[in-house]
Amino acid sequence: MPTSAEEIVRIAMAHLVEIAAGTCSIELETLETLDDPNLIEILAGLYTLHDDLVYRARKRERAEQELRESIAALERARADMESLVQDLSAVIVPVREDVLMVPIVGRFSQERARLLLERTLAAVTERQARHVILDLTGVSSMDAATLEHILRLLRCVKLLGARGVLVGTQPAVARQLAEHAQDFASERIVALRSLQDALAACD
Amino acid sequence: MTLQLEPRPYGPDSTPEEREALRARVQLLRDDIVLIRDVPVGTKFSLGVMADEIKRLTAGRPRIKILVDIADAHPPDAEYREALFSFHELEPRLAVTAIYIGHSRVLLAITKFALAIFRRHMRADAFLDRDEALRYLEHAD
Repeated sequence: MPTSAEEIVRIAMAHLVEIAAGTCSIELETLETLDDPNLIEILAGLYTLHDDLVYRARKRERAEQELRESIAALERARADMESLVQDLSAVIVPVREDVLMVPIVGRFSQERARLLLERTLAAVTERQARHVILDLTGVSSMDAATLEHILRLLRCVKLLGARGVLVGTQPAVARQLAEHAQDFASERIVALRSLQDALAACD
Repeated sequence: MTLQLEPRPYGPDSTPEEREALRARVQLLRDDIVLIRDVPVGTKFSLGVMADEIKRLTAGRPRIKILVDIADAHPPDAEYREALFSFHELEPRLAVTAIYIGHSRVLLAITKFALAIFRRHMRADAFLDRDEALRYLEHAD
Protein backbone atom coordinates (compact mmCIF):
# COMPACT_ATOMS: atom_id res chain seq x y z
CA MET A 1 0.00 0.00 0.00
CA PRO A 2 1.47 3.38 -0.96
CA THR A 3 2.41 5.66 1.89
CA SER A 4 0.60 8.98 1.91
CA ALA A 5 2.50 12.10 0.89
CA GLU A 6 2.01 13.55 4.37
CA GLU A 7 3.45 10.43 5.97
CA ILE A 8 6.46 10.43 3.61
CA VAL A 9 7.12 14.09 4.47
CA ARG A 10 6.81 13.34 8.20
CA ILE A 11 9.24 10.38 7.98
CA ALA A 12 11.68 12.34 5.79
CA MET A 13 11.62 15.32 8.15
CA ALA A 14 12.33 13.09 11.15
CA HIS A 15 15.36 11.61 9.40
CA LEU A 16 16.56 15.04 8.24
CA VAL A 17 16.53 16.18 11.86
CA GLU A 18 18.61 13.13 12.77
CA ILE A 19 21.06 13.75 9.92
CA ALA A 20 21.40 17.40 10.96
CA ALA A 21 22.43 16.10 14.39
CA GLY A 22 25.02 13.78 12.81
CA THR A 23 23.22 10.45 13.04
CA CYS A 24 21.04 8.33 10.79
CA SER A 25 18.86 5.39 11.77
CA ILE A 26 18.00 4.33 8.21
CA GLU A 27 19.15 0.77 7.48
CA LEU A 28 19.50 -0.47 3.90
CA GLU A 29 18.28 -3.95 4.85
CA THR A 30 15.06 -2.44 6.22
CA LEU A 31 14.54 -0.38 3.07
CA GLU A 32 14.45 -3.57 0.98
CA THR A 33 11.38 -4.66 2.94
CA LEU A 34 9.35 -1.49 2.26
CA ASP A 35 6.58 -1.49 -0.33
CA ASP A 36 6.36 2.13 -1.42
CA PRO A 37 8.98 2.95 -4.10
CA ASN A 38 8.70 6.69 -3.36
CA LEU A 39 9.46 6.11 0.30
CA ILE A 40 12.38 3.82 -0.62
CA GLU A 41 13.75 6.49 -2.96
CA ILE A 42 13.48 9.26 -0.35
CA LEU A 43 15.02 7.18 2.43
CA ALA A 44 17.79 5.77 0.25
CA GLY A 45 18.62 9.33 -0.80
CA LEU A 46 18.75 10.47 2.83
CA TYR A 47 20.90 7.46 3.74
CA THR A 48 23.33 8.31 0.92
CA LEU A 49 23.37 11.98 1.91
CA HIS A 50 24.28 11.06 5.50
CA ASP A 51 26.92 8.60 4.28
CA ASP A 52 28.47 11.34 2.14
CA LEU A 53 28.41 13.89 4.97
CA VAL A 54 30.07 11.46 7.39
CA TYR A 55 32.70 10.54 4.79
CA ARG A 56 33.49 14.19 4.05
CA ALA A 57 33.71 15.03 7.75
CA ARG A 58 36.15 12.13 8.33
CA LYS A 59 38.18 13.15 5.30
CA ARG A 60 38.32 16.73 6.57
CA GLU A 61 39.37 15.53 10.03
CA ARG A 62 42.16 13.44 8.49
CA ALA A 63 43.30 16.38 6.37
CA GLU A 64 43.30 18.65 9.42
CA GLN A 65 45.29 16.09 11.40
CA GLU A 66 47.82 15.81 8.56
CA LEU A 67 48.02 19.59 8.41
CA ARG A 68 48.63 19.79 12.16
CA GLU A 69 51.38 17.17 11.85
CA SER A 70 52.95 19.04 8.92
CA ILE A 71 52.92 22.29 10.89
CA ALA A 72 54.51 20.55 13.89
CA ALA A 73 57.20 19.05 11.64
CA LEU A 74 57.85 22.48 10.08
CA GLU A 75 58.09 24.01 13.56
CA ARG A 76 60.63 21.37 14.57
CA ALA A 77 62.62 21.93 11.36
CA ARG A 78 62.54 25.71 11.94
CA ALA A 79 63.78 25.26 15.53
CA ASP A 80 66.59 22.98 14.30
CA MET A 81 67.47 25.50 11.60
CA GLU A 82 67.47 28.35 14.09
CA SER A 83 69.71 26.38 16.38
CA LEU A 84 72.06 25.65 13.47
CA VAL A 85 72.08 29.29 12.36
CA GLN A 86 72.78 30.33 15.94
CA ASP A 87 75.69 27.90 16.14
CA LEU A 88 77.09 29.08 12.82
CA SER A 89 76.57 32.76 13.60
CA ALA A 90 78.77 32.66 16.68
CA VAL A 91 81.80 30.59 15.70
CA ILE A 92 85.07 30.96 17.60
CA VAL A 93 88.11 29.53 15.80
CA PRO A 94 91.29 28.88 17.80
CA VAL A 95 93.96 29.67 15.17
CA ARG A 96 96.90 29.37 17.52
CA GLU A 97 97.42 28.45 21.12
CA ASP A 98 96.81 31.99 22.38
CA VAL A 99 94.98 33.45 19.39
CA LEU A 100 91.25 33.22 18.68
CA MET A 101 89.57 34.27 15.48
CA VAL A 102 85.93 35.38 15.42
CA PRO A 103 84.46 35.65 11.92
CA ILE A 104 81.62 38.20 11.80
CA VAL A 105 79.05 37.68 9.03
CA GLY A 106 75.89 39.68 8.42
CA ARG A 107 73.90 41.79 10.87
CA PHE A 108 73.74 41.35 14.63
CA SER A 109 70.55 40.78 16.52
CA GLN A 110 70.53 41.29 20.28
CA GLU A 111 70.44 37.52 20.74
CA ARG A 112 73.31 36.86 18.35
CA ALA A 113 75.41 39.60 19.95
CA ARG A 114 74.77 38.15 23.40
CA LEU A 115 75.70 34.67 22.22
CA LEU A 116 78.87 35.83 20.48
CA LEU A 117 79.98 37.85 23.51
CA GLU A 118 79.28 34.94 25.85
CA ARG A 119 81.15 32.40 23.72
CA THR A 120 84.10 34.67 22.95
CA LEU A 121 84.67 35.59 26.58
CA ALA A 122 84.34 31.95 27.65
CA ALA A 123 86.87 30.91 24.99
CA VAL A 124 89.31 33.69 25.99
CA THR A 125 89.19 32.52 29.61
CA GLU A 126 89.31 28.83 28.83
CA ARG A 127 92.19 29.02 26.33
CA GLN A 128 94.05 31.84 28.10
CA ALA A 129 93.97 33.69 24.78
CA ARG A 130 96.00 36.88 24.47
CA HIS A 131 94.68 37.96 21.07
CA VAL A 132 91.18 37.98 19.59
CA ILE A 133 91.00 38.65 15.86
CA LEU A 134 87.60 39.90 14.69
CA ASP A 135 87.35 39.11 10.98
CA LEU A 136 84.96 41.61 9.34
CA THR A 137 85.45 40.28 5.79
CA GLY A 138 81.84 39.14 5.70
CA VAL A 139 80.40 42.50 6.80
CA SER A 140 79.60 44.86 3.91
CA SER A 141 78.00 47.56 6.06
CA MET A 142 77.40 48.09 9.73
CA ASP A 143 74.50 49.72 11.56
CA ALA A 144 74.86 51.56 14.85
CA ALA A 145 73.68 48.62 16.93
CA THR A 146 76.18 46.22 15.35
CA LEU A 147 78.96 48.74 15.83
CA GLU A 148 78.01 49.06 19.48
CA HIS A 149 78.02 45.28 19.91
CA ILE A 150 81.51 45.02 18.43
CA LEU A 151 82.83 47.81 20.63
CA ARG A 152 81.35 46.14 23.66
CA LEU A 153 82.92 42.81 22.69
CA LEU A 154 86.32 44.46 22.28
CA ARG A 155 85.99 46.22 25.65
CA CYS A 156 85.18 42.96 27.41
CA VAL A 157 88.06 41.17 25.65
CA LYS A 158 90.38 43.93 26.89
CA LEU A 159 89.07 43.60 30.44
CA LEU A 160 90.03 39.92 30.33
CA GLY A 161 93.59 40.94 29.45
CA ALA A 162 93.48 40.07 25.77
CA ARG A 163 93.90 42.32 22.76
CA GLY A 164 91.30 42.84 20.03
CA VAL A 165 92.41 43.03 16.40
CA LEU A 166 90.13 43.94 13.49
CA VAL A 167 90.84 42.51 10.04
CA GLY A 168 89.12 42.39 6.67
CA THR A 169 87.38 45.76 7.07
CA GLN A 170 85.39 46.71 3.95
CA PRO A 171 85.50 50.35 2.69
CA ALA A 172 81.92 51.14 3.75
CA VAL A 173 82.52 49.68 7.18
CA ALA A 174 85.78 51.63 7.48
CA ARG A 175 83.83 54.88 6.92
CA GLN A 176 81.31 53.92 9.58
CA LEU A 177 84.06 52.95 12.02
CA ALA A 178 85.85 56.26 11.38
CA GLU A 179 82.84 58.12 12.76
CA HIS A 180 83.56 56.39 16.06
CA ALA A 181 87.31 56.99 15.94
CA GLN A 182 87.29 58.29 19.49
CA ASP A 183 85.82 55.07 20.82
CA PHE A 184 88.33 52.99 18.92
CA ALA A 185 91.19 55.13 20.04
CA SER A 186 90.16 54.79 23.67
CA GLU A 187 90.03 51.01 23.30
CA ARG A 188 93.39 51.01 21.55
CA ILE A 189 92.03 48.75 18.87
CA VAL A 190 94.39 47.59 16.16
CA ALA A 191 93.06 47.29 12.62
CA LEU A 192 95.01 45.27 10.06
CA ARG A 193 94.50 44.32 6.44
CA SER A 194 94.40 40.55 6.60
CA LEU A 195 94.45 37.54 8.83
CA GLN A 196 98.07 36.90 7.90
CA ASP A 197 98.99 40.44 9.03
CA ALA A 198 97.03 39.93 12.23
CA LEU A 199 98.75 36.63 12.99
CA ALA A 200 102.12 38.24 12.35
CA ALA A 201 101.17 41.05 14.75
CA CYS A 202 100.20 38.54 17.40
CA ASP A 203 103.70 37.06 17.56
CA MET B 1 39.92 -20.91 -14.78
CA THR B 2 39.33 -17.46 -13.26
CA LEU B 3 39.08 -17.20 -9.51
CA GLN B 4 35.63 -16.51 -8.05
CA LEU B 5 35.86 -13.28 -6.02
CA GLU B 6 34.39 -13.25 -2.53
CA PRO B 7 31.95 -10.60 -1.22
CA ARG B 8 34.68 -8.65 0.59
CA PRO B 9 36.79 -5.59 -0.16
CA TYR B 10 39.94 -6.22 -2.22
CA GLY B 11 42.95 -4.01 -1.63
CA PRO B 12 46.64 -3.73 -2.57
CA ASP B 13 47.35 -7.00 -0.71
CA SER B 14 45.38 -8.92 -3.35
CA THR B 15 47.06 -11.94 -4.88
CA PRO B 16 47.95 -12.10 -8.61
CA GLU B 17 44.99 -14.48 -9.09
CA GLU B 18 42.61 -12.02 -7.43
CA ARG B 19 43.95 -9.18 -9.59
CA GLU B 20 43.44 -11.34 -12.67
CA ALA B 21 39.88 -12.05 -11.52
CA LEU B 22 39.30 -8.30 -11.19
CA ARG B 23 40.68 -7.68 -14.69
CA ALA B 24 38.49 -10.49 -16.07
CA ARG B 25 35.42 -8.50 -14.99
CA VAL B 26 36.18 -5.97 -17.73
CA GLN B 27 35.22 -6.96 -21.28
CA LEU B 28 34.99 -5.24 -24.62
CA LEU B 29 31.36 -5.79 -25.66
CA ARG B 30 31.36 -3.87 -28.93
CA ASP B 31 33.87 -1.68 -30.69
CA ASP B 32 33.53 1.18 -28.22
CA ILE B 33 31.41 -0.33 -25.44
CA VAL B 34 33.11 -1.76 -22.37
CA LEU B 35 31.31 -3.92 -19.83
CA ILE B 36 32.34 -3.77 -16.19
CA ARG B 37 30.81 -6.39 -13.92
CA ASP B 38 31.39 -4.63 -10.64
CA VAL B 39 32.64 -6.63 -7.67
CA PRO B 40 30.31 -7.29 -4.72
CA VAL B 41 32.26 -4.83 -2.53
CA GLY B 42 33.90 -2.15 -4.65
CA THR B 43 37.06 -0.37 -3.47
CA LYS B 44 39.40 2.27 -4.87
CA PHE B 45 41.87 -0.54 -5.48
CA SER B 46 39.47 -2.79 -7.38
CA LEU B 47 38.33 0.17 -9.46
CA GLY B 48 41.97 1.07 -10.21
CA VAL B 49 42.72 -2.45 -11.47
CA MET B 50 39.61 -2.43 -13.65
CA ALA B 51 40.34 1.10 -14.91
CA ASP B 52 43.80 -0.04 -16.05
CA GLU B 53 42.17 -2.94 -17.87
CA ILE B 54 39.72 -0.56 -19.56
CA LYS B 55 42.67 1.52 -20.75
CA ARG B 56 44.43 -1.59 -22.06
CA LEU B 57 41.36 -2.91 -23.89
CA THR B 58 40.44 0.43 -25.43
CA ALA B 59 43.91 1.73 -26.28
CA GLY B 60 43.76 3.75 -29.49
CA ARG B 61 40.01 4.34 -29.36
CA PRO B 62 39.12 8.05 -29.32
CA ARG B 63 35.96 7.60 -27.22
CA ILE B 64 34.45 4.86 -25.13
CA LYS B 65 31.09 4.01 -23.56
CA ILE B 66 30.78 1.96 -20.41
CA LEU B 67 28.10 -0.40 -19.18
CA VAL B 68 28.48 -0.97 -15.45
CA ASP B 69 26.71 -4.04 -14.15
CA ILE B 70 26.19 -3.60 -10.41
CA ALA B 71 23.40 -6.17 -10.08
CA ASP B 72 25.50 -8.33 -7.75
CA ALA B 73 27.20 -5.43 -5.98
CA HIS B 74 26.51 -4.03 -2.54
CA PRO B 75 25.40 -0.38 -2.48
CA PRO B 76 28.60 1.63 -3.00
CA ASP B 77 29.88 3.52 0.04
CA ALA B 78 30.86 7.19 -0.09
CA GLU B 79 34.54 6.49 -0.75
CA TYR B 80 33.74 4.19 -3.66
CA ARG B 81 31.24 6.67 -5.10
CA GLU B 82 33.96 9.33 -4.97
CA ALA B 83 36.42 6.96 -6.68
CA LEU B 84 33.88 6.24 -9.43
CA PHE B 85 33.42 9.94 -10.00
CA SER B 86 37.20 10.45 -10.12
CA PHE B 87 37.43 7.78 -12.78
CA HIS B 88 34.99 9.72 -14.91
CA GLU B 89 37.06 12.84 -14.44
CA LEU B 90 40.34 11.08 -15.26
CA GLU B 91 39.08 9.33 -18.41
CA PRO B 92 38.35 12.09 -20.93
CA ARG B 93 37.44 9.56 -23.64
CA LEU B 94 34.44 8.38 -21.63
CA ALA B 95 31.39 9.64 -23.51
CA VAL B 96 28.54 8.01 -21.64
CA THR B 97 27.85 5.49 -18.88
CA ALA B 98 24.89 3.18 -18.36
CA ILE B 99 24.44 1.47 -15.02
CA TYR B 100 22.55 -1.78 -14.91
CA ILE B 101 21.04 -2.17 -11.45
CA GLY B 102 19.16 -5.46 -11.52
CA HIS B 103 16.27 -6.02 -9.16
CA SER B 104 17.24 -4.01 -6.04
CA ARG B 105 15.03 -0.95 -5.64
CA VAL B 106 17.32 0.34 -2.90
CA LEU B 107 20.36 0.10 -5.17
CA LEU B 108 18.36 1.88 -7.86
CA ALA B 109 17.41 4.66 -5.46
CA ILE B 110 20.98 5.13 -4.21
CA THR B 111 22.36 5.09 -7.76
CA LYS B 112 19.77 7.62 -8.90
CA PHE B 113 20.69 9.87 -5.99
CA ALA B 114 24.42 9.60 -6.71
CA LEU B 115 23.83 10.21 -10.42
CA ALA B 116 21.69 13.23 -9.64
CA ILE B 117 24.74 14.68 -7.88
CA PHE B 118 27.21 13.66 -10.59
CA ARG B 119 24.96 14.41 -13.57
CA ARG B 120 26.21 17.95 -13.73
CA HIS B 121 29.63 16.56 -14.64
CA MET B 122 28.91 13.32 -16.50
CA ARG B 123 26.46 11.74 -18.87
CA ALA B 124 25.02 8.65 -17.24
CA ASP B 125 21.79 6.87 -16.40
CA ALA B 126 20.59 3.89 -14.38
CA PHE B 127 18.51 0.98 -15.70
CA LEU B 128 16.70 -1.99 -14.22
CA ASP B 129 17.02 -3.85 -17.51
CA ARG B 130 20.42 -4.76 -19.00
CA ASP B 131 19.27 -4.68 -22.64
CA GLU B 132 17.70 -1.29 -22.12
CA ALA B 133 21.03 -0.04 -20.69
CA LEU B 134 22.83 -1.38 -23.73
CA ARG B 135 20.39 0.27 -26.12
CA TYR B 136 20.92 3.56 -24.29
CA LEU B 137 24.65 3.29 -24.96
CA GLU B 138 24.22 2.24 -28.58
CA HIS B 139 22.04 5.25 -29.32
CA ALA B 140 24.13 7.74 -27.40
CA ASP B 141 26.21 10.00 -29.64
